[in-house]
Amino acid sequence: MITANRLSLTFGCIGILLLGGSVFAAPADDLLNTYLQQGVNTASAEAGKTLWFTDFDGRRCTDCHGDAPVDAGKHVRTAKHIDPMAPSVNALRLTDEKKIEKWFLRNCKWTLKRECSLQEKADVLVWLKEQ
Amino acid sequence: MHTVVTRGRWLVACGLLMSGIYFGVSALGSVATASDQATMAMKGPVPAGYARTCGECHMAYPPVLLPAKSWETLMAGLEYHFDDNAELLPDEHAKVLKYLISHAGFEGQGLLQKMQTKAPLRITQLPEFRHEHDELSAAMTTGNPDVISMSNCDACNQDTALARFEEEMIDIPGFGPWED
Repeated sequence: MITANRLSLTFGCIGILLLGGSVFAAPADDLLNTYLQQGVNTASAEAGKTLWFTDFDGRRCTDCHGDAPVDAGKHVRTAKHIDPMAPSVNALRLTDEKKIEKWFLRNCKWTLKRECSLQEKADVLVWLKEQ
Repeated sequence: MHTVVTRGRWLVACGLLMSGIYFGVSALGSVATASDQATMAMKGPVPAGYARTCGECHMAYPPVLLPAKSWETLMAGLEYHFDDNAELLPDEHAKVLKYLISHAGFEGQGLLQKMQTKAPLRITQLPEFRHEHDELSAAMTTGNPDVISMSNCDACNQDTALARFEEEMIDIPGFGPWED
């Protein structure tokens, strides 16, 4: 009986650990690690911030996202409401690797008129994570 | 030697039988799908995956609102999607395209009556769409801060997820239900 209880307790603990691991693992960190494995040496939040505010031939990230990542933005062409980018005020941000990659693809090509490099994506991601 | 030949024949026979069954079943399957499409197209709710993918930027339009040819063209040009970039990652792209094509509308049906081009790209420019909305004032639609664009169907039509667009289900923000 005791053995059975201990056994279920052990499995229960393992289950909770597994569950905890999957719930609390940050997808942004996983993606950042992927970038590092693919050849990025270090990700710089400072460089990410610079890119975020850089004018690329008339377009900037902030045109749609607004000047403060903690505030909501508005798409400069379609007027679509954009929830704040800062994870500190928007818990849903940076929680889905595929979503992050999709929006890097779309928004880099729209704003910079080219895809972003792994370095640029890593920099912006590490900066946004801190917001 | 004899045994080997017999065994070989058995294998061929079994193979033919199995492939016959396979093609028979798959043919039945495709017939069922085709008849489902005809009846389900206007009634099936929008799947969550499609709503999430396309609904991030605008209403996830029911596929029945455009013909398959239009969806093919739109999906092939997501990089320049009405002055925005709406590209999808490859796996999402394949799923969305498959859903759109298999649930697309047919010429002559609903808003696709009196179509002027084979592959129209703007639902709001369809002749039948314009006809259905020709009694509305700009104050009710494009000049209405809660509507802004004619493409925001669900600002007024309360039953868009079912692609029904019944007049009884219209509620124009600031103006109320529509009475013809």
